[in-house]
Amino acid sequence: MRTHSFMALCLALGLSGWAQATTITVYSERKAQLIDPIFAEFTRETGIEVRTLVDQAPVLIERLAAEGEGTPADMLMTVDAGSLWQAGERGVLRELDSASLKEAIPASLRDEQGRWFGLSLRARTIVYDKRVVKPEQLSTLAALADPEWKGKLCLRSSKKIYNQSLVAMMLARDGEASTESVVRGWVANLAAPPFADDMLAIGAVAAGRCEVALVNSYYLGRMLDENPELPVSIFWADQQGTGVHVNISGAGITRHAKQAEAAQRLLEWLASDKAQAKFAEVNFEYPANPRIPASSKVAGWGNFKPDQAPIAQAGQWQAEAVKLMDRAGWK
Amino acid sequence: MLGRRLGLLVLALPVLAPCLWLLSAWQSLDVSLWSHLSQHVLPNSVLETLAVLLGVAAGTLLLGAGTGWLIGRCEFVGRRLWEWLLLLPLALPPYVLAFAYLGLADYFGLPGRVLRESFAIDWLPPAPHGPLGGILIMSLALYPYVYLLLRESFARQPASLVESARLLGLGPWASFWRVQWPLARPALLAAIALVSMECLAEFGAMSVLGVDSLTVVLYRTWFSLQSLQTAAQLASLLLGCVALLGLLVALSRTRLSYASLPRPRARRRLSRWQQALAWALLATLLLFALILPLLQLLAWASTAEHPVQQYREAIMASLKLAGMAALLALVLGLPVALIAAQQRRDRWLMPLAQLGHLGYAVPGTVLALGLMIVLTALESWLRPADAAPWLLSTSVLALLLAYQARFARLAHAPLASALAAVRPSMREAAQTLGAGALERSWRLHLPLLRPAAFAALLMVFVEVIKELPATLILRPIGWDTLATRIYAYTSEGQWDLAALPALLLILAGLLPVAILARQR
Repeated sequence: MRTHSFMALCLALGLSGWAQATTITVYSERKAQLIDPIFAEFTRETGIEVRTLVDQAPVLIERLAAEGEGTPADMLMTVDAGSLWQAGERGVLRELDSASLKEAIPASLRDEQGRWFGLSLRARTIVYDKRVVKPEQLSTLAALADPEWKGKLCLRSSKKIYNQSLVAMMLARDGEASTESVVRGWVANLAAPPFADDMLAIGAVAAGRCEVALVNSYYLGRMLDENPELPVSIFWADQQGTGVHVNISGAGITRHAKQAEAAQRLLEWLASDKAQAKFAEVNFEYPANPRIPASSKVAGWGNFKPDQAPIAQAGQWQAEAVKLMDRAGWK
Repeated sequence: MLGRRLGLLVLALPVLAPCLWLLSAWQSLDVSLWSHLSQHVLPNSVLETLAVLLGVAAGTLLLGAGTGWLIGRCEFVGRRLWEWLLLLPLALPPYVLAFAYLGLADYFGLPGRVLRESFAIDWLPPAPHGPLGGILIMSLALYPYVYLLLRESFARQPASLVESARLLGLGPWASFWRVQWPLARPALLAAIALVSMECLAEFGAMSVLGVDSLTVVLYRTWFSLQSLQTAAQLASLLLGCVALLGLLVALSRTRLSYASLPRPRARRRLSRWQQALAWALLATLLLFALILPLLQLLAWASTAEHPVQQYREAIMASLKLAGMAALLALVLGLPVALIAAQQRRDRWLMPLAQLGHLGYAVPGTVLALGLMIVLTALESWLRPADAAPWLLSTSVLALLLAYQARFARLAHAPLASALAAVRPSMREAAQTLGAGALERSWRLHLPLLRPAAFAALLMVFVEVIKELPATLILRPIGWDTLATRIYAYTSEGQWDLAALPALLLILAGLLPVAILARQR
């Protein structure tokens, strides 16, 4: 008996707050602290509340699949194109035909069928120790596989999806043989075992443990914001060729969204000129809409040419990329 | 008889149902993925996992048995203080310890910063990494389990046996190896099994430290190689190892029974320099297991601006979940322990009771995902087509089931050992006086169990406060806990922001640990 009322209580607790009107629920891989300020702005403008539940994308996708039509989620937001592609393939996102989204977001940064849209650009490129490395020594990511960088390169773990998407895009562009030889070259040049995150890799450059590292630019932005004297600079790779590797933070509307209209409004609002500038600025990222100038915080790093290849390839080639990294011994 | 067996089976359901899901994953096999894994990933992973298991077993044994022996067998100034100080690291989850240590070794860490800015010395402590780093961190995080179990065992050693051994001509070493050691062995094996299971299931610390343990490979197979099915197959293999481990422990235990509780041996008084040495050793251990990580967390927490308002809700969510889970574990654990203790002749009961404890070693994510899928199926079967969705699969109920599956074993351990200490003669006396099984439970066992029940409550409470993976997956909206807040920051590398919720989490765990320690 006691267990019964106990269970009822738990259910009630679990379901409370479920039936509020015009609240959009977002399952987000982008962490609350990097998105809540933007959502707050949206709420101020429209009166529509937004609440978030944060977890890793694969878990959120399984959760959406398990909850099915009962899901409270109206929108899925991730920090990697590969994850969005996965969500599209798994059938948890709905197709959207929105003129304003198509207008604002370049075709290479959104799904062909309109299931997901990139909202900010994240550039993965080279940072270097400015006490010992001159920018003239740097050119492409592939060149970091040359023997001259032996014992001087720091990488993050291959478990991070940012590296997987990078290698996936290389695979799609250059083919397996060439990509594998570059990746093997990187592994041979490592100065230290791969790091658990990008900030540690930048810290290792600052500490002189390595001379160059491969990181997302916003991590350096955050660290320079706190420590302006950090002896680390950024270099935009591959500017003579395909352009610097970019990934997206993006979102789509869930197949069983209850507030589909409001959620579409939010998505379109996020792609609007005003929100685009803010969305990227919160985290030193770049707007997905190329007509919006980068925030003043990162303007000092200059403009860069981004890779224009369809970002969906990051998802299509991800599993192959991971296997390649396993073979090459990138831990 | 049948009723009891069925009862135990039902109580084991939160563990069994996800495990059945794991087994059902074997319906088909992705041959090319398996050949990739077995060629390029698994050989190294198995080696690293074994290295960490052996290393942590040795490490926790060294730290836990050493401190357990000092506190349990020796008398020195401040022993009672150390008795509970040594338990405090129990409040630090391994993933917090791991990121605190990475921070200590980082360019912006406390030592590096102080040396650079105050003394202009460019020196950084070596960063813990790989299997060696894993062994270090997990040993520091897990030694209190071994300490707790062995301290009791050492303190309760019957004087008569050791005295007889000495009278029969054995020297101190020989009497240690031939009498004291065999007496402590069951507790020791139980402790090592517990620690090994924690290590097998740990994901957070292992992945931060770059250990390619089997659990890390399992996540990689799901998240990166995009095969949930192969990941589930890996998980079921992992489960097989754990079942084997549990069986070994159970086998080593069967011959042991406490016929009587004899007079415990007097503690040995340490000489003055021995006392100084003991203090130095204990203080060093506490420095590495608690103080240094705490200092780094404090240093981080003081530099960042914190969204304090969010934490009030997170604290409440953590406390509510931990409280409910602890009560549930006790309510469900008591009958299991009582049945297992009273019906020793039924050889089906022990394995059935053990079955419910398998979940301790299943990685939280796997268990949670299994529960999520099973509950989804249950809901679609039970719910009338026109009713509003219950969302059983991501509810507080689902969370409590997951905690029950993970931590039933922790509640069981103190209850079972307290019941084992109930002498057969007491039960026989009660029986002679005409008390049936139910009355014996009520009037004899329960009163004797009160301290153990309290310990069980606190153990589960602390573990649920620290639990991350299952909470992350199953929590309904609005139930963000301290642990999930920490995750949100550490996964973005924002350690300074993660430090405050981590400190709050440690604080929330320290209180019950301190009570637990003082009460014993």
